[in-house]
Amino acid sequence: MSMPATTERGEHAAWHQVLFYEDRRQYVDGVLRFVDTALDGGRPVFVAVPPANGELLRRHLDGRGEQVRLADMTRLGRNPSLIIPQIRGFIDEHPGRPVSFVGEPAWATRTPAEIAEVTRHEALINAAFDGSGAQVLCPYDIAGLAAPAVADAMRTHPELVDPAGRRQPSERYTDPRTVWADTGHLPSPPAGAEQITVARSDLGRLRSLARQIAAPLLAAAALDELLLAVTELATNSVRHGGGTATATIWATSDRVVCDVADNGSITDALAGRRRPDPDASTGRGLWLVNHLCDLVQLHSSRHGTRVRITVAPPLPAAPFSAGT
Amino acid sequence: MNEVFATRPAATICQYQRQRFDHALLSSVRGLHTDQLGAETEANVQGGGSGLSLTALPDGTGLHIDGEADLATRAALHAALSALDAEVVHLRLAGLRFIDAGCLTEIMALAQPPRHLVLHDPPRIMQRMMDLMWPGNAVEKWSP
Repeated sequence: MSMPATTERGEHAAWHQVLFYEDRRQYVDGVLRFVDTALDGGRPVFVAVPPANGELLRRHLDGRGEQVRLADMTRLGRNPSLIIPQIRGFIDEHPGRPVSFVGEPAWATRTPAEIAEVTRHEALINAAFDGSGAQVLCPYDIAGLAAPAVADAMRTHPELVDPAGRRQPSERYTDPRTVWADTGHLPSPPAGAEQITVARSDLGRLRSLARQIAAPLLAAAALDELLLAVTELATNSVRHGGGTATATIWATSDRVVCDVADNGSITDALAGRRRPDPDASTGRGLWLVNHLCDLVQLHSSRHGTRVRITVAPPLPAAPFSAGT
Repeated sequence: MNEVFATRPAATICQYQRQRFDHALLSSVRGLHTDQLGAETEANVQGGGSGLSLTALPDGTGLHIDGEADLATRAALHAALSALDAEVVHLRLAGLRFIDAGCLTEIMALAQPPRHLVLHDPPRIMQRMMDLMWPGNAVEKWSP
């Protein structure tokens, strides 16, 4: 397990904070305090939030906006597993300089499955950037989000900060490994789902089946991404998960879902969230799958591994904006 | 491949145009296969749309790669790519319907200086993978 030593509560862990806000005023106050402090300290600042909130911040940053990298979290973090690689990339762009990151990964229209992955992502932040010098602030919209999303945020952030800047340790902070393991139960596939057992010689048949189910819903580009993702997962199973994969594929009214299960165990909770060495022969499958899919839910125990991927048609031209 | 297929009712045909590969490669490839089909003509490949066809370019500077390249065909791809020794290698990919990350890694391994790699008509998803996995790569791409 590559998970670092458990992050202790208190001063050592205070670099990952949650900001609960109820309205725009509180949002601007809380986030700008963090951003201004970072800029004053000479730290590179990366802000990834839903677009309406990004616009709000841009207006209030006045002349300092150019010093901040602003990104649309509904695209960058549509798959929550991609957020850690993006932060890592920002850190790598600024060698030797501790960075500050504002990440708002939860919004009201996220599905429960997405929120569960947001929670697991937040837990893994504690493991991924411990000791990096990074400061991370995560605003949560307590007026818009369902109660479980807010309760989970208290388990994944060692410290709470209010819009006035008052800080307190989170009483409910939980070891990231525990959160990663106990969050996001996968419901059984629906009765009509197609299932196929895949060995090395069956990868083409797997793609044919996936194509048949997905073609009515996905345009060519998204279909290609799905076929690549299912192939990479099944290839991982063939190579590392006992020689065969069991793939289960179904479509809903607006997305295609595929489970790939095998008998192997993935003990590295950060698997797929690190950029692989391009010349390495392993480690790139899950990383690639994270870039190809809208949601990736990886559940692994000593009894086996199941990865559920979701691919939906691309976002409409006018992106969703989180209300504030 | 032999190990996997031994217990399964599937056949994979790897195609090599005899007159376009040198003798050494054909010998080494032949050694990897359990059986050899004598026909010079095109053969149908394994069911389910899978299968890969590798054809040397007439001037020996590269390959036509057609069909689907995945774990089942990676060893054959590796063997064919390893036999190329031109300084500028051309891969003609208009007929490539699928390629996974492992097979793309085999191709990208060719792009080591001083060798220059030119991809003709690479599929869009292959370009996406290259941008994700080898950002800033120096591979030349030609599309119509």
